[in-house]
Amino acid sequence: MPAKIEVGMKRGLPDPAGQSVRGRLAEDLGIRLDDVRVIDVYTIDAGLTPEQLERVRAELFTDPIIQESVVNKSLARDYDFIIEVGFLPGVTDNVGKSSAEGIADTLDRPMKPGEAVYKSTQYALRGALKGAADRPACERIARDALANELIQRWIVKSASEMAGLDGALLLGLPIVTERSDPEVHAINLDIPDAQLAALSRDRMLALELHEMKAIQAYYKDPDVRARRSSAGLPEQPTDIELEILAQTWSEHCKHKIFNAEIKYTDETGKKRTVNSLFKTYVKATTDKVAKQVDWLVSVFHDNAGIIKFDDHWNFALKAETHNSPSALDPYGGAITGIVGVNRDVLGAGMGCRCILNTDVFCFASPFYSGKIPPRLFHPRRVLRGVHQGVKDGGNQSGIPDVNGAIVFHERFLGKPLVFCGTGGLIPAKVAGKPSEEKGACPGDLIVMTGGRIGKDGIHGATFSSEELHEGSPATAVQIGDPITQKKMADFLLEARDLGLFTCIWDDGAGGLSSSVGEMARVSGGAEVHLEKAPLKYAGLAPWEIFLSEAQERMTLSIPPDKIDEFLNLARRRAVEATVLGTFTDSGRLECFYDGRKIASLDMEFLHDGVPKMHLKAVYTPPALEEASLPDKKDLTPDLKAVLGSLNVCSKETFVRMYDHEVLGQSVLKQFQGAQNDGPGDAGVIRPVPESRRGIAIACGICPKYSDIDTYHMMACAIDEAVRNIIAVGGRLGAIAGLDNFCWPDPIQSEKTPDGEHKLAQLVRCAEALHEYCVAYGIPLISGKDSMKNDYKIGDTKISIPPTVLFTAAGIIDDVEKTVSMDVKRPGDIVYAAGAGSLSRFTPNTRRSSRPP
Amino acid sequence: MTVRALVLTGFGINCDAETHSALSRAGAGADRVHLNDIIENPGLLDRYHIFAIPGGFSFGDDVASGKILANRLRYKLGAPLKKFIADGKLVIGICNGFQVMVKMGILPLFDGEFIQEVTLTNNDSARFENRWVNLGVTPGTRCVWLKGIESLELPVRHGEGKFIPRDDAVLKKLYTNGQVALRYCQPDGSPANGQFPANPNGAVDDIAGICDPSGRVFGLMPHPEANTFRTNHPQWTRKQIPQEGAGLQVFRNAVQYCKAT
Amino acid sequence: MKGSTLTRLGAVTPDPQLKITGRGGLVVNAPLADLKEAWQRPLRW
Repeated sequence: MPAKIEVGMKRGLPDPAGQSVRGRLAEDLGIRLDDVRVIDVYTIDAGLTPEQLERVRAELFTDPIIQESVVNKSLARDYDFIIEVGFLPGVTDNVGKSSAEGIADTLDRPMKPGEAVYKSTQYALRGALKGAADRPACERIARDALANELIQRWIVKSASEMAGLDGALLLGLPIVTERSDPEVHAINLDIPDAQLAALSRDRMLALELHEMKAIQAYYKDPDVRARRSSAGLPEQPTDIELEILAQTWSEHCKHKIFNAEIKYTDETGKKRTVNSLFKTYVKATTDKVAKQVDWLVSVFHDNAGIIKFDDHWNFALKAETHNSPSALDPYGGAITGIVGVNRDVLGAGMGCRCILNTDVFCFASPFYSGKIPPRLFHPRRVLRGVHQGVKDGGNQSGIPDVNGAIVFHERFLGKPLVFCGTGGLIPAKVAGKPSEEKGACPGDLIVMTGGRIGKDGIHGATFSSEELHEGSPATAVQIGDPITQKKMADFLLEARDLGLFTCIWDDGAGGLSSSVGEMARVSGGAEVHLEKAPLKYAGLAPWEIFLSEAQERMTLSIPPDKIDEFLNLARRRAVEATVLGTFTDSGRLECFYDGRKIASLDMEFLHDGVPKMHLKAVYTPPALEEASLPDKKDLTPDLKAVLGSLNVCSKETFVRMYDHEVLGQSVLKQFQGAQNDGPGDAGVIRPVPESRRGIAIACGICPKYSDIDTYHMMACAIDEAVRNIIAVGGRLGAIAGLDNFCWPDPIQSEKTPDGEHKLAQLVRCAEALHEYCVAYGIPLISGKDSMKNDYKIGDTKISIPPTVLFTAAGIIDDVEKTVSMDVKRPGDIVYAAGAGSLSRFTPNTRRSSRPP
Repeated sequence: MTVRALVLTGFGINCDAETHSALSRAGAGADRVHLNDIIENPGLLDRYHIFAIPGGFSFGDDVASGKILANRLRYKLGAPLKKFIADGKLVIGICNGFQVMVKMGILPLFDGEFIQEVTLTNNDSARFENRWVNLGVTPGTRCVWLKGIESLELPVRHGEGKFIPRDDAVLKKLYTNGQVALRYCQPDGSPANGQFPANPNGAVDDIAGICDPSGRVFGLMPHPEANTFRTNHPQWTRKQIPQEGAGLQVFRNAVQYCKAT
Repeated sequence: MKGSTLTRLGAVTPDPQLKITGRGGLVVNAPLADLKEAWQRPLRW
């Protein structure tokens, strides 16, 4: 029989957490209550004796100075309603997990398999809501302010209902009871096109018809059929094979639009063909600039781009988006975004230590008063949740936030954009070898470390390759667990320095399928035994194990003679590590379950078989009129209006909550000036205490220009980032760039009738990226694109304004020479530098031929 | 003699690198040591003169900040740590490390027993905040870590830093024993009197750090290891700031103390 | 800075007031505290 411990602040002491909820209810929902008290509820399903329960109540769960607590009783008093919120089965419960460790320590009794602690929270509400008629208001509070129904459940009880429930469990135990079919099924692809398309949609494969047909053709190949039959596999693909292909070929992983052949017609009617935006504009930029700089170490092919910091250290940088998950669960989506990009950097080269985070969010106005379409949250809630997620993820991981922005535009109502960036440091040499060189050798063992696998995050890669729709899966939502990841990261860096692995890869989108699939490209194949994978709970189908995006995992390749030392160190660091198979040179990715072969895919087809897209883009410039400025004498009110506009005003409330000084390396912070509350241009850190060299990080983002011209949207973003770096003391020639594209669906179709225009906007944007970066001498060292940022349910369609985040990193020779943004002394003279900005007033001095 | 310092790591501690760096630059031979390695071999502690529990989010601050790590230290290393202190050695806990220390009762350590007498809990704002604060060293404090220091500017970065003693008797005893080491104050040195943001969390009596009756065991919410370079100071581009950040002296004092005894 | 165009715009003053002239007169004249408040108020949650 599970037991319950309830803990709250002693009567008479203030309850800041409750007060904070009370303020939020008033501000966000307009519900004013007299009092809100928060009670932590720990449900312990571990068969503890009454004496043991009393011990953990007193010694673990209760702060004797300020808290009171009860076992198997109700603590709340003087309230009208109680709302208790807990997690749905299978959702990551970090507090529950830590509590279990605490109980084991306190009682010196390890938790047994099947035993667990579940955390829930009670909100005792008093005032305004009294009778049964107020129950709907309580439901609204729960749904709109306290819980997210995708990951949590709640129960509302009035004081009178609670009378008979003293100490009862209000919510059942969140135990996963659902079992997936453990069988592996063959899926018939010998079906008409319409059914192929339906199959892709129904299984959430997010593959286009011509891609489904390429798979169909592969399985019809007589050689493939012969090989499959001799391997004991069905002629038709198994479910896991189809899922692996869909993940590997997803827009998210393969960047099909950026690699497509595009027939482009410009505004004058001139036609040309762009064969891969990536090659033509992104890679070409870096290739050209690479001739001028000597500090590029590893670009484009690893988890993050790597440049030289000094003779002893290299610097890695990466930014990612986590838009779709953040739309469904702002907190979970965002925390997973930040800890996810941390893993990209941890997985760059032989493993980098994360030393900085950046965060840029795009939302609709938090003061939006219109109707909220189905499945969307109010922008205010999205802002709060996303901010909280990034804050918790960064702070708990001990990685300082050094730069970011919050941008507002009405069309981000359809999908918020959540850009998370991370920089990392790695010794130039690790175990005697250049640290950027990595690769699994045939015979190396496949080892998964960190968290366990659950159903969370299944179909994340394919889901983010679609617009947000009615059937968007709840399982695509995950909650990050920064502490499990921190433990793993500490351990892996220790193992790195001992030379215990040959390759490291992040289990991000696509999970094992992605990491093993990518790592196997070097060795030439892999053999995975999925029954060995550690699971959070039983009942996952083999394909779910391979595709799950459950967080906090990294995959490593480990030479057999190092495996004992690796596993031993993992045990001593309390990190789970499991051998799942072997890297091979068979030319195939093969999966087994309980000894039976369930997947065998040619590496070549898997990675290079996706057919090229052929797309059409037609650019028609919008007809716009130049704005005219009224001839006013007093512009003070206008200046105040600009200062108070959402895109300009201070974001201190939010930024203050990020730890921006952990690691002790900060030089120029987010807050500058006499009162430490003014803005700054770029963040500067000094990552190596023994050296005065530094890194400046800045960003540029200008979505409001997109409706005018995406070329200048891009150009201005680059220019903004570069000016920020220069302003703090950086220099051209020592700046690297990252491009993160977020676009509405640019493929012409019934649901996207203006696809040709949106694709043309993308072409123009990429052109600007290329021209400006080449002109500035900025190599692009990494980047990402997210191409389906639309919302469509019923007749409502909202497409985000095309947006690119440009992140710039400048190496600073001496941090003591950097400059903060604030004016320093009376009498100092103010100059404007650069011709363009004042061209209207000083036409004779205009020299630049580039548009401002 | 080389003064040796052990900097604790593991389970979400995350200021170990800069604490290690600060102790090294203060002249100590410092090592980062994983908690499990000490639990496996408590004799390790004998090699060190200083034991540092850095800041971070041990166990995610789940249940309450520092609580789970506090219990683990108390149950698994209680006796060796008592001996460490009885041997005249030094202990510091910063931010999460301070939270760990008060919750395991290693501070205020009135009678040599690990009993929780004070707590650190949710800021009045109910928010985690990162901001710089002014600190005054309490005249007459026994804290050896603060010897010769009158005031300090350091960043705070916490959501649970509000200091609360069990009762007035505990508070009085802390003062009588010279255990109130560090208090938040206004930029001009006058008391913060609970005023936000000078007192960033609502701490009783503006208390930011306390020590044990010997002055060798010290815990504080602000981060001395995050102000060890001139350029760490938020006003370094505006004011004359000494090349060495003021926080480093805290660690120098500890190393000096160990050398002298 | 060689080859860059610099335009002298004004000077930092000891009094906490922002003054901008143009269009033949004083177009902005406001205490810094007012401007700062306008900038800080909207998202001071």
